Amino acid sequence: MSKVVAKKICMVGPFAVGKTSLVRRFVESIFSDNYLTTIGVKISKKIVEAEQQQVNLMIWDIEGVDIFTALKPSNLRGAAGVLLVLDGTRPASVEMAEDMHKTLREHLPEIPIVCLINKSDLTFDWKIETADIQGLEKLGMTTLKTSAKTGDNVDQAFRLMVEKMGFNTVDPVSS
Amino acid sequence: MQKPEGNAEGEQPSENNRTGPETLVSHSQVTEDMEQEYLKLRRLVLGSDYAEALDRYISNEAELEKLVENLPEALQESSQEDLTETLAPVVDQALGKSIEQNPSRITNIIYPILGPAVRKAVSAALADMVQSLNTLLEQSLSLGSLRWRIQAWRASMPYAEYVLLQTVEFRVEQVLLVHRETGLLLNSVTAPEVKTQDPELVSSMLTAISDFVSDSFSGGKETLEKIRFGDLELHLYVGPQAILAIAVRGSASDELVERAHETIEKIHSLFAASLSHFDGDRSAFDDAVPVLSECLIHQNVSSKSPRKPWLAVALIMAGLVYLVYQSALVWQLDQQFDQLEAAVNNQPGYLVISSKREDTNLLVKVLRSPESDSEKELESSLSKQFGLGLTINAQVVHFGPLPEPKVRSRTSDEMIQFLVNQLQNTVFYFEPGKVQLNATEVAKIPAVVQTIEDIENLAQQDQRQTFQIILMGFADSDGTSAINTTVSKQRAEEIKSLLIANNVNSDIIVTWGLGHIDRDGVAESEQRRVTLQLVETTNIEPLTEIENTIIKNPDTESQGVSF
Repeated sequence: MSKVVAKKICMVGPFAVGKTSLVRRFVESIFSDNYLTTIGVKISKKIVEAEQQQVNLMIWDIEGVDIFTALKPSNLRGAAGVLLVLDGTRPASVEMAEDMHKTLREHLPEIPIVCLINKSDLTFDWKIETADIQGLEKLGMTTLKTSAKTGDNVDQAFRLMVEKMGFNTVDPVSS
Repeated sequence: MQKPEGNAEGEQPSENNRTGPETLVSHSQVTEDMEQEYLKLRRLVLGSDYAEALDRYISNEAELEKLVENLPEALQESSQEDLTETLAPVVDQALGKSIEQNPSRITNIIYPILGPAVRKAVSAALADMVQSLNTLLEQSLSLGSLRWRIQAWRASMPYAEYVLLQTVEFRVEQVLLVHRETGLLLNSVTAPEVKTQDPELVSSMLTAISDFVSDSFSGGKETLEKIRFGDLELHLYVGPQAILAIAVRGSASDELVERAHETIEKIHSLFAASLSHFDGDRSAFDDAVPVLSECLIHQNVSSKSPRKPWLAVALIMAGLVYLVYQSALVWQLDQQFDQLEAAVNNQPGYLVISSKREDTNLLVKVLRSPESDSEKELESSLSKQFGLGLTINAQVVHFGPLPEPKVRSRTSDEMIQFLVNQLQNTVFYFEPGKVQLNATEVAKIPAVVQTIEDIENLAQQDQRQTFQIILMGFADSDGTSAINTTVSKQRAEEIKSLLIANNVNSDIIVTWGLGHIDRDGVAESEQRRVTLQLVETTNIEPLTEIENTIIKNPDTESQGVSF
């Protein structure tokens, strides 16, 4: 049996960008989504096969951030990676993502942050320019367009996360 | 290749020559001809391939022979697994086909193993059933379980759960060791037969909840220590780098709390390096299982051992002591009563007729001579002496002057006393309801008559006072007091008539019917009696009328009767 490694990753992002939908699509969970509204976090598990080992991602789906709610540092503690999710149809979410990136770096200076630009299925409403994406990448994040609705790139997003954490996945996402 | 072809072609002319000149065609020749024809045909059809086919045919046969020879060995050589895999479908199909074609054969084959197999299965099932039935009976029929059922129903929880709750004070169901920083599970142990959710998810969520509570209510300063829901408690023992989470059903004992603290300390000392450099690889904590298992304890409800029934024993002992004390008292009282009665009887001029005990009082009926001490004096003096109440109901009977000390021959005195005793010891018994004596009792009459005569003779010799004989009749408890009085009187009269018939002077005989006056202790057969009492008198007067007065007023305090 291959070695099992567990990692905590956090899923953060502005309100209603589809974090929970992304998680719900490909992970296993025993907890209801109600936890999110009651204690602000819901935990799910995603198993990613890497070379010679299995990575159990414990995904902390953290309540959406808006002007009223800030990120709780206690939820970020000990995370090995962060998935920062934004909405491709809302240009304002780019700005928020940049702010959040700053906050994340204060608490977690060294861990990989992968930026998922969600709702890629809504091509007609797509509002985010290539320049915006480049701007995000300049901050040191890897970006990936995903769609929780079609499942496009969702699995890859988790595998990319695992790769960024230093594992060699069976079917690499990044070139 | 070339050779057989050449030979075959060479044979052709000779065959033609042979068939050509022959005119007589035998059977063998025909067959041979046909063979030749076939051969020709084969050659025409197969051409040069014929020899090759023939060759192949022959060599195939050889190969087959070789295969047959080597097959068992080959089977042995081949790997069992491969062979099984290959043969399984074939055997399966073959078996199916065989059963389809001849089911009785397979039935016969498996018959010897079918019987024992079925028996074994049935006996195992029966044993199981008996066991579960027994448990069920034990659990459902006892009064306690009925109560539990009702209580479980009232608490609206399954009976089994309630039983567990009742019989187990607490039980650790799951122990989780959680990395404090990341909330990742390091290791976990679970009690047998406990269903749990994915401990990895639970431990992370637990950390999240703990953080949530801590952030929300104490600003992150305090840590969550206990969560309680229903009868399940979740205890969190937070160390600097790891959290020990223990799920307990019931209420945890102090022992568990202590052990949990020890465990989290031990974990920190044993895995200090692994904890501080934890990168998600939990294999470093595989060795934590025995340490965690130490917390996997449960404590049954201390079976209430039947306590020694000290209270009951003490009560019984006290009761026994009281009984012994009481019976001793009663016995002592009895003795005192006897002594008191004897004292009254021994009083000069007193004759006890009957006595009755009421609590600490003795009621005595006596006959006393007018010269004797008054009963009042006696009552007070004897009461003081014995410490018992004494009531004397006396009938003053003029027995004549008390015997004056006279100089008499010692022998005659003793003789008279002996005879008097003899007379007074004679008792006539009657059958129930009868006033006539039976033959046995009548036989006592002559002796009595003789004694009376002897006493009279001696008295005359000594010039003593005349004697009077009082016949006292008694009756048993049966019947009314009026009837008893009459019957007892009649019994006395019966003895009187018998004595008179034997020439005893009727003037010296007084009859007295006393009815039923005996205590319960005296046998009924001995209550139906007539006794004799001898008194000395100066003047002999008819007694009948006076005596009747006495009987009519038996309870009058004291009545002076002059004989």
